[in-house]
Amino acid sequence: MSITIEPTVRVETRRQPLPPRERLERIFNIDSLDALYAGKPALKAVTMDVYKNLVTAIIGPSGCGKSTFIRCLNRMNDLIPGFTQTGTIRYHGQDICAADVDPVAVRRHIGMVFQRPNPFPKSIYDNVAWGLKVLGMKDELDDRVERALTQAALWDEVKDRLKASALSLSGGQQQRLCIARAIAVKPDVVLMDEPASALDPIATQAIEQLMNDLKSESSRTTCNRLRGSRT
Amino acid sequence: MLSGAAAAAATAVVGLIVWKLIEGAWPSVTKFGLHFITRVAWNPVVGKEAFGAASFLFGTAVTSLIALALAGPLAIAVALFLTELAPRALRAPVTALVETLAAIPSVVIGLWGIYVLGPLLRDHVEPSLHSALGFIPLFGPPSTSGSSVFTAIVVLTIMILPIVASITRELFLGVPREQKEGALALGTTRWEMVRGVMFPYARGGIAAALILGLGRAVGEAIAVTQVIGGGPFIHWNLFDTGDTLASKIAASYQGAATNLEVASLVYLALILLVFSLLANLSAHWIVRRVGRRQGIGLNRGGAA
Amino acid sequence: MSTHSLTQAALRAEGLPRRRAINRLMELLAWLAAVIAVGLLVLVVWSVARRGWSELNLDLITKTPASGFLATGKQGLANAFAGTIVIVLVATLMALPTGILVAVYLNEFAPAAIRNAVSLTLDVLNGIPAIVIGIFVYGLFVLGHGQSALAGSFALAVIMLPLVARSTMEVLALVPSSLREASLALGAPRWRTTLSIVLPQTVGGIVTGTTLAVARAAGETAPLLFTSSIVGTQIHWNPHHALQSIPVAIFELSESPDPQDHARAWAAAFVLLLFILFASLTARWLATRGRRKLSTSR
Repeated sequence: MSITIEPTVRVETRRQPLPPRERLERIFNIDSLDALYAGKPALKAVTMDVYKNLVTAIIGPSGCGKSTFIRCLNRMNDLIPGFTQTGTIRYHGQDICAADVDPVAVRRHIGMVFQRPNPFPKSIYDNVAWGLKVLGMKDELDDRVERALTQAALWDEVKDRLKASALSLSGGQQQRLCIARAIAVKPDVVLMDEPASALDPIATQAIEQLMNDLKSESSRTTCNRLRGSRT
Repeated sequence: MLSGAAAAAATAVVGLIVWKLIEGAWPSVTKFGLHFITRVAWNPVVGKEAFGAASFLFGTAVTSLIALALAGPLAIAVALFLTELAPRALRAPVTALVETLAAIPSVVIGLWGIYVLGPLLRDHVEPSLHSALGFIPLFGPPSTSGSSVFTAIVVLTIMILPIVASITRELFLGVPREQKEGALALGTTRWEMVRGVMFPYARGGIAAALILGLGRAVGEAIAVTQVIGGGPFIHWNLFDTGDTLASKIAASYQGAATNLEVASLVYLALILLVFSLLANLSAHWIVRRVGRRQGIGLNRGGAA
Repeated sequence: MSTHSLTQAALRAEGLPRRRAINRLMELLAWLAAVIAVGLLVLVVWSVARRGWSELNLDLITKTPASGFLATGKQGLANAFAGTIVIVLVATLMALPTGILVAVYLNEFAPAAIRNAVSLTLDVLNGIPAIVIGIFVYGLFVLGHGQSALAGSFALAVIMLPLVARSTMEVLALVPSSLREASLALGAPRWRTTLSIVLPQTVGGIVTGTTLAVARAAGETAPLLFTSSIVGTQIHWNPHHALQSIPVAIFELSESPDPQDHARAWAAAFVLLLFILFASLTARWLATRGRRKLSTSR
């Protein structure tokens, strides 16, 4: 299987027509990105732009490097031993792979939702509140938690059992909780790595609807991968 | 089946141990009853015989608990180093080194304690601590021989460090990667991730590890008796000599004066046995309760 | 409120430098802890090596301790070396077959409830202090009959049993059930399956576990204090007598006022430590090699 990422990004929206290129605000500029796991190439010379207020989807056959790519955008690949990359990734003009950039700061602004739901073994409330507390957003904690859960379309289902363990939720609910957790800290970008792949079709639809809603509210660009393209 | 018989025999041994100890301690149990546990005495002189475990219980409690308080955080920090911070090439060798510390026989550590550690503490550490903090009864005047409760505490810390460290290390290795990545992806520092995700995850197992370490410290007889000096008193001065349950038994190996004294020594061993059974069973129970979530097992533990 | 700037000013507003400082501090503490742990090991081994090496000579192994007050000439610990060999050998002969049998029973034949109960018993046995085991065997065999190396070996065997059993169980569990099923499908009885098919696969693991148990037993002092410590100075090999052992010899010499005795204690400790380190490293090397073989043979 050849490893290719399509050179043009197909951006689909259900509602609005695409604004002209000149009026798009560029969030990411990726230039000649090579990524290797212990010397074995996973990405070769990737060059593309990602724009604000759009859902940008990366589509490709399995194993072609999609996960690797989006993990580059928030420096998550730093955690993989033996991983190296060359090329530049600019976020609002700043090279995020520069030696003097702290990955902690990068991840503060570029959040991530993972393929399999990974809620912490804490209560539903604490899952969302923990990040807020650690990052110093302790004011109006309850409001922030409620707002995040509402945006993730989970509030109504959990509002009377916030102290229950997050592990008691269904798969789809857990994934929405992870989304709430990620957006509660108000990142500028949310990366989503096949967020619905472990979920049933109904939950998948809910997630996709959620992504569309997030995109249109405030300044958010999400990169995600969809299984099977939709028109 | 032969193997079934072997398994039955192995189980029977524990029961046999309990029975034999009760039998051996019986003369002392009938004479002193449970007051044995609260009396401070060890007088083998015929006619004025009085034996009691209180001073040894006190010594055991002080040495083991302080050693645990020192070794516990140290071991957790070492485990954290080995799983998160050490350069990958160093991880296996340093793990091997820490586990080798557990393989050193107690008598060798005791020997080192008598002639290297003891004099070092007596000549340098204890005087300065005494002059700086002497108003606290813990840091009274140092004993002249180099044998002291403090030396025993340091020795015990060295001995329980590897056990707690290696169990904790396995617990940390068992924390799923997605949990750690989920925390880091929010923009937390590694320490915040450790505190928020790894510690809660490993909490139960760490408790069990600490209990096992405590059991090890309580049961250590040889190294402690070599460095602690002896004496059936209760006092707070760490720099003076002292005694523990295990070290008293070991110190008397050359023979006790009377049958009652022998029985009292076995009584001490019985108390030790009860404690070690409690420690082991509670560690097991904790692991079972937590193990549901994580599927870890404790493969270590042991006293010399 | 999204500042999408990674500039220092923006980050300072969020308290990142303070959080980073705390992170750094914790990292340093962890490094410090590791240095202390390794340092302690190096310190102890170095002390023993330095003092033991200078006192080490062949007399240690060939000469016996002199008896009587007017001891002249070279002294050694030959009786202790001989005694340790006998005691540990007999203990291994007691513990090894028993441990393997227990492990086989638990892993191959026992229903789950019994397996859990006996497993727990083994763990409990492992946690009983060695001095208590010594007192136990004293009450069992020594009282009324006198000390003997056999009693000492039995005490050591009780300590070794859980170690051998546990490591054998671990390695038995690694044998794929497909092997057992193939043998049973051919009509072989269970015991035959275990003996001819399963056990041969575990030999490496058993050797490793036994090596570690032997290393542990060779260094134990407390179980022997009450079972095999009243000894003469001559070399004996008869396990029915009480025999001197290296750990007990070190223990006694360490408490003696005579500096000559200390010298011999260091030398003996050095030899003991070398043996145990060598055995532990060998066991570890065997274990990694065995693991590699198992993973490639699948």
